[in-house]
Amino acid sequence: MGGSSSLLPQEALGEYQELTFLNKQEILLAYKRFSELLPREQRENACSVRVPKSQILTLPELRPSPSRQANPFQHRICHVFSTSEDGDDSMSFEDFLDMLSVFSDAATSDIKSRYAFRIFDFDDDGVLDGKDLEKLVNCLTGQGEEARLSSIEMEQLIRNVLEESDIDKDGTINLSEFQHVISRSPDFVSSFKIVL
Amino acid sequence: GSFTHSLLYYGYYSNTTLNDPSASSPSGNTSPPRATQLPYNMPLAYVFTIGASFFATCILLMYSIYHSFGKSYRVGSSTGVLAIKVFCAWDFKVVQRRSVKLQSENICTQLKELLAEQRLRSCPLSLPQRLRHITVLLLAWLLALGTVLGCVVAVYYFSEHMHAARASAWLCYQWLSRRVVCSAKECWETCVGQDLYRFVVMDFIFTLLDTGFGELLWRLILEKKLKSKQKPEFDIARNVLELIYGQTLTWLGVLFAPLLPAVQVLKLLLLFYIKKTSLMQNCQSPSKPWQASHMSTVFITLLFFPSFLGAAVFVSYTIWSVKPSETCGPFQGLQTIYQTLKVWVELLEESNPNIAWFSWIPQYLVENTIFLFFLTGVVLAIIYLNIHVLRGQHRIIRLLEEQIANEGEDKRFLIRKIRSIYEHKEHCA
Repeated sequence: MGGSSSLLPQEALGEYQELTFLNKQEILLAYKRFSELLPREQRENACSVRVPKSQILTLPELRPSPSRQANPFQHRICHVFSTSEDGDDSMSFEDFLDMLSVFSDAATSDIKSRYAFRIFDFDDDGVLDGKDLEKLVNCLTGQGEEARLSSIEMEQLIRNVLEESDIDKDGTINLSEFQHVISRSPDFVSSFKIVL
Repeated sequence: GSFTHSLLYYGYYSNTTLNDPSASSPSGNTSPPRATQLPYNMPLAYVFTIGASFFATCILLMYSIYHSFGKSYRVGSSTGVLAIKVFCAWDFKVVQRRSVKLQSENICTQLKELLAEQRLRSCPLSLPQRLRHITVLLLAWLLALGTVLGCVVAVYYFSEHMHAARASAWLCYQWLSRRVVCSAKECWETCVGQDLYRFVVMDFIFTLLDTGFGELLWRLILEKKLKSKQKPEFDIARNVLELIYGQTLTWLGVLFAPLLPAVQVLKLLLLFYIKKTSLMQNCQSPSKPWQASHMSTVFITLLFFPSFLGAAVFVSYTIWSVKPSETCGPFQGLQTIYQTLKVWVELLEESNPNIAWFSWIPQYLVENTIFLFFLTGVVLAIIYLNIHVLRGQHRIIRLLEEQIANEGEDKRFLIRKIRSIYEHKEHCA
């Protein structure tokens, strides 16, 4: 691995440290992993290049395996953090850093819950309704046939979740209600983490 | 055996003041005589060390409980387990394929269990089923209690038999009635210390054996004979309970064998590294997932309430009311260990009349039963107030939730009204 050709410029490093929750080693490690995803000739301008989603998904933290997905939320994560205008979910280095920053140790519970809400909102309408919850539960329980909940159980589950979290009784869970539920769980911050 | 007359046990400590300038010769300690030394009152030092260590442990435990309660308990959070499970159960740090699959299966099982529990709660069991349920529970309880009682009776008769046979008995458990047979015949505190030391060592040996057989051998058997990829599971609950048991023994024994905490520290260090190696090599993670914060609160409370408080009560009773043995230890010849403190306070009073007020603390506060009743009353009043404050907070939470729901209704009503007005206008226009 050529060391000198893929170094991050110093002032960019300082800027990234200020704008994200990551520290210097984490940013440098992220830069290294990101530039490994690029073909060799593009590594010099790693900062400005966008990496297509298929490449991002080769990272072990997000990698799909041949028979079933490793991280069921990988598509949603790429979609939420991508700032690509084409809608192809490609990620630039800054999007990548953004993602790692939100999933890092130092990020606050408020930031994490906001992004968790966006990740779980499968239809991007700003609220979690019954369909979003159903897709979420299917992601959680996995793709195998015996692992899924039956339709009666799914209905009961969605009804109970809405009953417990929907305070204004409009049939959907908005961001504040979601954050209220999250605040009651002390384990959320430690489970909403990705470590490179 | 050889430890009997060493620092480890109670009997070794002398009851005089060491390096006392008024004494003719120094008494029984190994410090070389020097020109000017401060007098060291051994009995007082003994009592104060024990008292201070218990007090410090109490404060530390209460602080830990306070912290873990703060993290895991929220007012009004008894409902909402399903929503929390759905939103917070997924651990994003997990990357390996097998672990991800395991996690999905765990979450699926937990959700199904929670849903089944809910269904059971919403349609409760009929009367004959409930009666059957209760009878089974009662039978299990009776069986457990009966077994324990049977074991106690068996040990009692066995030790009587041993006493009669004059064997070098190692079942001394009737400490306070002093019908014991042990190697230091005059010194019952040393006997108790010896027993507790033996218990600690036995606990260590059994834990080692358990790690060896339970985990290492089991894994070898599973791999070689049964050719299965499964490793034995690491049972967190059982290990923590064993630690609590060992710690209770140490707390009970610190009065009678003052160096027992050092033995315990050594034992814990060794156990930690052995268990860690065994865990990494022999075991797999438990299939039932572990709610870390909730369980650590449970275990710390378990450590505090039965274990530490029980030991503290026992030690306090021994200090307060039990007559120390006549011929050994730092409290020879006194009526109770507590007398040391009283004697010391009187001495202080005599030597320095300015701090005579200090002497009324034990007399009027500690020994005065009215003051103790008053203190208990104050504590009970504080607990009562706190319960009522919590109830009030629950009620406020419920009222606020109703208010939010009502405002949602109002909003929907107004939006419907506006829409119907617009449609009416468009229709007329």
